[in-house]
Amino acid sequence: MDSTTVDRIAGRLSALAREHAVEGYEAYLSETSKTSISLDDNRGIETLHADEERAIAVRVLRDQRLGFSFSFNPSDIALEEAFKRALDSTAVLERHPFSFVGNSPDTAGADLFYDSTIESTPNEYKLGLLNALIDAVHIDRRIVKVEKPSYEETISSVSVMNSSGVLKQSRTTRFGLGLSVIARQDRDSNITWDFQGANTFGTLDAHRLGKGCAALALKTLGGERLRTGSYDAVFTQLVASQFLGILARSFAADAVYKKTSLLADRLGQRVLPEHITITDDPLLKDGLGSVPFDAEGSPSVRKPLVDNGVAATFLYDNLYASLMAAHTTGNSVRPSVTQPPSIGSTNLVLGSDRTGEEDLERALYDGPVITELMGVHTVNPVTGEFSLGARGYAVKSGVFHAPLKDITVAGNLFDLLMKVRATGRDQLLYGTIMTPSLLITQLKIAGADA
Amino acid sequence: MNYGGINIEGILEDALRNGAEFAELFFEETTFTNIRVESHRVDRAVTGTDRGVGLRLFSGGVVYYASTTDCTHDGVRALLKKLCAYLGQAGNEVRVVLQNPSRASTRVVKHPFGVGMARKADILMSSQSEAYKRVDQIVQVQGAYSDSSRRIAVFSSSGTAVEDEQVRTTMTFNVVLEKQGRLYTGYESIGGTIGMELFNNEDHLKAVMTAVGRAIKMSNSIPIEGGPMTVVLSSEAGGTMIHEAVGHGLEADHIYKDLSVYTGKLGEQVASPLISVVDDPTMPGMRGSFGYDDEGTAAARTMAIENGVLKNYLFDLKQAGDNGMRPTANGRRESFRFPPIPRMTNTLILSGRDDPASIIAEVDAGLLVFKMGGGEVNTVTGDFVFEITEGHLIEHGKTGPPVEGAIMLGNGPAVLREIDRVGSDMGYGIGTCGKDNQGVPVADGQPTLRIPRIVVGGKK
Repeated sequence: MDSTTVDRIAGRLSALAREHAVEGYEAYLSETSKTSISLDDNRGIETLHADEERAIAVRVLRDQRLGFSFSFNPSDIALEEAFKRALDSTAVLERHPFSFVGNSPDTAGADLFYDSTIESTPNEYKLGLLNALIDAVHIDRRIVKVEKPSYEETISSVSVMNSSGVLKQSRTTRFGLGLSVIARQDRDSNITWDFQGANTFGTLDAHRLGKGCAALALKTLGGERLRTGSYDAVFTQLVASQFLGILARSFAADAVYKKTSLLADRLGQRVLPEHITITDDPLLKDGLGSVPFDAEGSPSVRKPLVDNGVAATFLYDNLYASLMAAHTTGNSVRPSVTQPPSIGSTNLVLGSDRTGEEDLERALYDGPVITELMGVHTVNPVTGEFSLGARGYAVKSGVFHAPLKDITVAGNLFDLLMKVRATGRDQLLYGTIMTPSLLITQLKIAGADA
Repeated sequence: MNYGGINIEGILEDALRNGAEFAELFFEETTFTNIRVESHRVDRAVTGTDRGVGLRLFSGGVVYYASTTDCTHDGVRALLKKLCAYLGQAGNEVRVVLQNPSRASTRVVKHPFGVGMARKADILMSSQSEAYKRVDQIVQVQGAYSDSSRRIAVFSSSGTAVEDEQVRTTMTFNVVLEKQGRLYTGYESIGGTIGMELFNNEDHLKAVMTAVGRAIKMSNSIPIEGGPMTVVLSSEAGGTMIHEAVGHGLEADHIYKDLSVYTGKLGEQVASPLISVVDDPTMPGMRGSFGYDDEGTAAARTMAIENGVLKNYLFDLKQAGDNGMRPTANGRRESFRFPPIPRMTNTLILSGRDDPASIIAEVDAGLLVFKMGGGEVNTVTGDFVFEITEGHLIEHGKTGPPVEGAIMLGNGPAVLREIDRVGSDMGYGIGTCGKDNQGVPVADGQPTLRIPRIVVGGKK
């Protein structure tokens, strides 16, 4: 938001705080402009969306109770109403040993994740990317359709201010390319989805994305069932990233505090093989979770969650830092401005201190490569139990053999991670998660009759 | 017409003048309360209003959509200006005349607006303490209350002018137990297009105890070996199967883009003659119900499959218009931030004639599903999965021990053809369905069903 609006809101809030004798307050202002374009079968525009949102979220501390509300209207009256709703909500809330934290310098510039070239990038370039994506897909006559090749850009500015003197502003750009490829042969058909995200427009690589998605569609077209049993298997980067995304919840201090994390008592213990490190990295170049400061204005810092296989730290915001006598790790996030900030990972990076395998399929030698999961949202983040649909292909003697379908994979996420035998030398960034492909031992697979 | 200081006809006429063939304004104001309790305390209590407007234009086959949180005349004008910059064709002078809007609203006995936050929090807290009292090993009871009053108004260049108020109240519980160093969870939810009368019969207490019961069963469950087996889906299990196996595949956008296994099959036998499927947003109190859909089409029941024959798809205005069909009141959107797309509402398999108890009794060895969780479908192949959150072995026609969390994986058309028993009972489940990054409230229902052979994922 422009500086006049920010100043006006800061002034109004401090007046309201005096008037209602509160112990502290915080405002989070965001202004987001989002554009997305998708093409149809004839490369014409199929849909064009343009969305604008201005929002204010307010937290108020009264009687050591932390109230919250929000408004989509930046006027003084709307701000006052939101402030009062936040005050009213404190009536049903518990007391916390909480106070708003003061200013500390950021580790990254306010515009580090802002690509100013987008201001002068003509629409033709964006359409050009989509056309390049379609060109890259049509590598085989079995590929019959590219569904919703789409481009998305989000330009946002955020201001955080509080009664302890924090006043921070930043701008961020986020870009995305996505598509689905449909392949058909005889009676078999298949749809494969992929995407790419970045903070800089120039990083988007339509050719790589389209070609990769098409190749995978062909590799997994049709196929046979696998016999029910236990297999060594490779997870592609996409599949590995989906499992890592679920794991992140177990590191959140609120889950630990509420005893809904299986890692609650495991800090300092081995949870992964010794060669593996997982880092929460809010400063990752082109990570869609990258921010110079978090949703409370705390500076962004890199930290290992799992350091050489050992659980190293949990993720904190100011509230849970005060409840658990710790310090914030700068992991306050706001998935929606209509809800209070919560704890979340920024970008997760899985790395190994061993040189990865040049060819993980060769290392697997005989077994399934899992390329797609179905029902990932059903994985129980508390227990880590999962049972999912899967697709992929079989490798025999180290090379591609045949597509696989109608299989299920099952197990426990924490057991699974202990069974990472090797990593590939093929680290890939999927939005907020960067990982190589993983070789897992003894994965339970149900398919055809045992 | 003047709506909130905005000259509606003026905006729509301007859009047509600039090259749109169809123009629509969608206003939305959703006032909600969310309360969450955890660890014997109120963890979160939020009330507020989400408000905005969306402008949709059709021109030369393209859908243009813009939204803003600025609901003033200037805000809406800015949307129009932004979209018109993209329109490539010359427009027409058309006079748009709108009548006063037709109105509908959810019939509620006790509107949530009339009840204070403290009372709502109290219902949650008392349910939570009830659960803690009953069982020792509970480490956490997460309870969530939410109500919303969603007021929408739709105006379009084809003369649509409607307003609808949809009131929804929901309560969910997630119970976490610890046993020998392992955690187990149990979940239950209640809710619908209903007000605070949802709590008149202490259904919230029954719900939390159901969640506790599920967590206990999970802690006593045994892993099973996966693979193909006979499965009976109890009517209590909810309707995730019908939602994934057939519902998504009937949505007209998938159909006409040739992304569904049901494309081109109208009039054909696509399921066993025992199977009839309806989508019905008119059912009072159900979570997927409304007066008008998000394009202003009045709610109506759609017979999609009748005795196994495919009768109709689920249409929004765009797909109906492009394909010479009638809209079926399935044009829905999560909020003003999204364009409407074809979505399910309350989707059901109608009851059959078999006695539910004897359906189970006839199975020598198999799986009995008492509760289904979330699912997903690949509409292109028809392959679907859904989670079994409470399942038991069937041993010689009797209900056996509970099994560890598993999934079922099948193919929609294949399963619908193979179902060989349809019970005379009926049960419902509620949920939020996700598609194209939009979530909408839905309900699903089905009688007790038997699938002779389907792949179950197991952990043994």
